[in-house]
Amino acid sequence: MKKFQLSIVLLTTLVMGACANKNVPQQSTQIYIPSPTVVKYGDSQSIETVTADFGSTDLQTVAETMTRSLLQSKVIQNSISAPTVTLAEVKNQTTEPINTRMMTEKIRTQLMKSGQVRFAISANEMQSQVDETKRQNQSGMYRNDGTAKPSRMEGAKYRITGTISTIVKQNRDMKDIFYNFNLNLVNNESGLLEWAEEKEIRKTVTR
Amino acid sequence: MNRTFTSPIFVITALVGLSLLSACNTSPAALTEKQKMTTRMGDTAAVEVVDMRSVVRNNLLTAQVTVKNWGPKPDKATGEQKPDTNLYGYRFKWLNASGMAVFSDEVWKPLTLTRDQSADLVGIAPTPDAASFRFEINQYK
Repeated sequence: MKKFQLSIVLLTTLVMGACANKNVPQQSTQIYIPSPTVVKYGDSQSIETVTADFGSTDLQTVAETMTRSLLQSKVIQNSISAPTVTLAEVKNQTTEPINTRMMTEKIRTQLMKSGQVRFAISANEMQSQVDETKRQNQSGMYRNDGTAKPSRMEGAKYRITGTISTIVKQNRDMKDIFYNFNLNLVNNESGLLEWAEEKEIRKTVTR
Repeated sequence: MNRTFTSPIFVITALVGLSLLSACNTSPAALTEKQKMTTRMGDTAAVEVVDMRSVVRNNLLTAQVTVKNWGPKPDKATGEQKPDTNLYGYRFKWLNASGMAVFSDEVWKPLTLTRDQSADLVGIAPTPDAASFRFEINQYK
């Protein structure tokens, strides 16, 4: 009988203890502690293979290959003075969202840095040129001798056009992306294609 | 005569010392021109620079480096071929007549060579100022 009474007392104590735990005040809001992160600088020229999408290494490689080839072409090297060139925006013929403006500007900067060509502004930048000339000449705020006169722009002898396209094939275990980048130099007066170069890049992803 | 200088211990010590000094004096095997012009980073021992040449074409220095990937050496104990998992990148560094670097650094380009495959890597200088070049190779994975 005593054992039975003892077990009842123990059970009651346990139940009471369990109920008592419920009364412990709990935090109503949880504090989010983010996992520790590491920030560091990296080499901007290093090989990037995060995904198979068009990346920084592809952009830099394409710009480098194209500009070096163009600079070595007879059209550029046989010119008495640095020829004037305009660069149209590279056309993206892939299904990927590629920033072709970045590519165009990279090619132009590399060519400019070589000192072998001079760039006339492209069709995309024409509006800002017109606006600035108008502002200087029509606002009445500038001295006449210091303004940029209209009809003094220099036309480009050559224009550079480019396209980037892809062939993508994939199955359950593998994806293959083939990039083909083309750049052409056209004589604006004669319409002759003076130089062309292509760069092919193959990237594969396997599971 | 002082006995210290004629003792066998002294003579042996002196001989050993002289031989060590002469060993230090001998210069290590002279680097070849290819080795001098190549900068290696990481484990790139499997990639051999077979040939190096340059020519001025249309006013710009053009370099050609022939490389061969021998792949990792087989396991010493079992003789088994290890898988060729290393990935390499390369680039050219262009120098002017004074040895100063011209233009900004090139991008590292992936070297896509399977075992026993060789390739001619061609680089074109970015400006006519470039008079010589260095070949840089690294292991990026």
